[in-house]
Amino acid sequence: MVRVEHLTKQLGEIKAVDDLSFEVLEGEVLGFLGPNGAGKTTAMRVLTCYFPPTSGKVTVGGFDVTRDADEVRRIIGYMPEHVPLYRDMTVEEALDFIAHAKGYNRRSRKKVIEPVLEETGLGDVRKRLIGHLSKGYRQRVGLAQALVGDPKVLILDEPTVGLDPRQISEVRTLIKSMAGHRTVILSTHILPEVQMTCSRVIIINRGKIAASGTPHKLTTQMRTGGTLILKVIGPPALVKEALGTLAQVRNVTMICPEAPEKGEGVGPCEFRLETSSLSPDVNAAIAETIVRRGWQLVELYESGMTLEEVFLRVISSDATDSESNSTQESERGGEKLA
Amino acid sequence: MRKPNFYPIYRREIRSYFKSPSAYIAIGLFLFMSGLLFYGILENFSLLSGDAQYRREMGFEKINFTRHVVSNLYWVINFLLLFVVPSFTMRLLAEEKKTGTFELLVSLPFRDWDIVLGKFLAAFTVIGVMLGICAYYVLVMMRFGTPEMPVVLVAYLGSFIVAATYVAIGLFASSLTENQIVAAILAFVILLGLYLIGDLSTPSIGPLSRLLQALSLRYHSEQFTHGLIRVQDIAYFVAVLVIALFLTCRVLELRRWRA
Repeated sequence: MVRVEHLTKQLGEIKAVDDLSFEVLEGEVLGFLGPNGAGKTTAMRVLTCYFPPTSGKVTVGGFDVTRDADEVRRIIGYMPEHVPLYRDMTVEEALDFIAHAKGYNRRSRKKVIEPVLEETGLGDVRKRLIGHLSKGYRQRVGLAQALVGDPKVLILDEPTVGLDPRQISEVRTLIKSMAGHRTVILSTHILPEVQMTCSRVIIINRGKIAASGTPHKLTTQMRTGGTLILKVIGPPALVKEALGTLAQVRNVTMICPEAPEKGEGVGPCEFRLETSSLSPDVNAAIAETIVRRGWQLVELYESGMTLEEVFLRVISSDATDSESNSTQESERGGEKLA
Repeated sequence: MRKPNFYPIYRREIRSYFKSPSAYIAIGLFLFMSGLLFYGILENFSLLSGDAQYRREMGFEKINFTRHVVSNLYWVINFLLLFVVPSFTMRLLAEEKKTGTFELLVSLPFRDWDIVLGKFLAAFTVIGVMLGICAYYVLVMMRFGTPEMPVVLVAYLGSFIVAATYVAIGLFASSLTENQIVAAILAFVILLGLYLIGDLSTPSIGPLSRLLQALSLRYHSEQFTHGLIRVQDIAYFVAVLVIALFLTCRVLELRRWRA
């Protein structure tokens, strides 16, 4: 549905987007993730024909954004980061204007607007001036403007910025409900948002793709071995030593709440183990080691890497050595430094 | 060939004008001022005509209704337009840029020309309505005197052409900035510059003076008050108008290369 090949966009002196390539299939929800100034908005502006690419080929629904800009504009709905609103118009008038611009005649405009008002829950305020609406409602108007005419491709630049938690969850539910029948590209720097709404993620940094995949794939792929958290009642120093002797364990960190030096009688102490692999065998070996010495194993669980950690790792490894491809070794090195 | 798609912009813009009180205030002020000055002109003319007998005996020039009323009214309206037009055009693009709605417009199936044309026509329509009301002055003249109708008509229709040119320049000024006040001042300065440029034209500067005269808005404008419809004057206004609209499009296009 959306195909971007070697997109580069030069803005003045700055290369805002640098050789970006990706593809979005019909019905997919793609999350653009990246720190501020990574080039998300620039990439989206190329997709919406705000400006043409400096080089590269970008097609939306088979239409080239440079040559067939009119066709592209007709099949996309765009919600920019700073929601553009005509404050002197009512909700209905604004949507009518968008429908008019998209070429619907007077009669069909009503039919086009109704489902949008319903979908975004704006029916109650349709006659109100946009300037008089609350922030949450305005954001919805922005979304409604993007939805007019049932566009095949929806492009949302930070759709939940500045909303309260309830409104955020509403917007997310709305976006999620679109998956399957609409192609959505959304940008954000809020990580849980991506995990919740997107079927695929592209992490973009300094105008380049730093990582991409499903949220699940990203979190598992980036993992080098596994991290186990366990709570043990026993003399912490001895436990640490015993765990360290295990073959599969690479590193043990002790996170004790209180007085670790005293012998027995202390509460459970937490350990963080980095293992070379994740398998039931490892867990079993650890459990056996502890139980055999007469200590008590209170808790043992796998700590999955959150998307947030993936993100930070990708961004920081990009910053420290942007030249060399981030191999496992360099990543581990980077982590130790941190 | 693609159908131009400026009507939605035009329609939105017209609605927006007639919804805001500022348009009514500006129109009201314009009509009040021009009405007041028209009254003054008539007063003055009636005083002069009382003197006519005496003046003729003293060898002064004859007084002439067209010269003293039609021409003066034309200049009054022309002068007021210098202030009123920028106040109408200042928000056209500056506001869209400031509130970010420009980004919305560009993501809709509009070309830059559609946006410029829709906005130009909308502002010109409002100014046109305002000048249309001024037809009342013509009726007053016909009721109480016998003006030379061809001259009156040429001057009246000429005002529309001049106003259209002003609107195009105002729109251009509005495209240059996000600040409406700056847009208004800029439009006024450009208009005033074109207005006064002819005053630099003195014989002492040689051939340059002809060029300055050719560029002078006032010089070309003046011909309408003589009842003259000359190709070079019409061409001047059309050219300035087209250039202003063209430059506006180019300014909108700047977004393609600048951050």
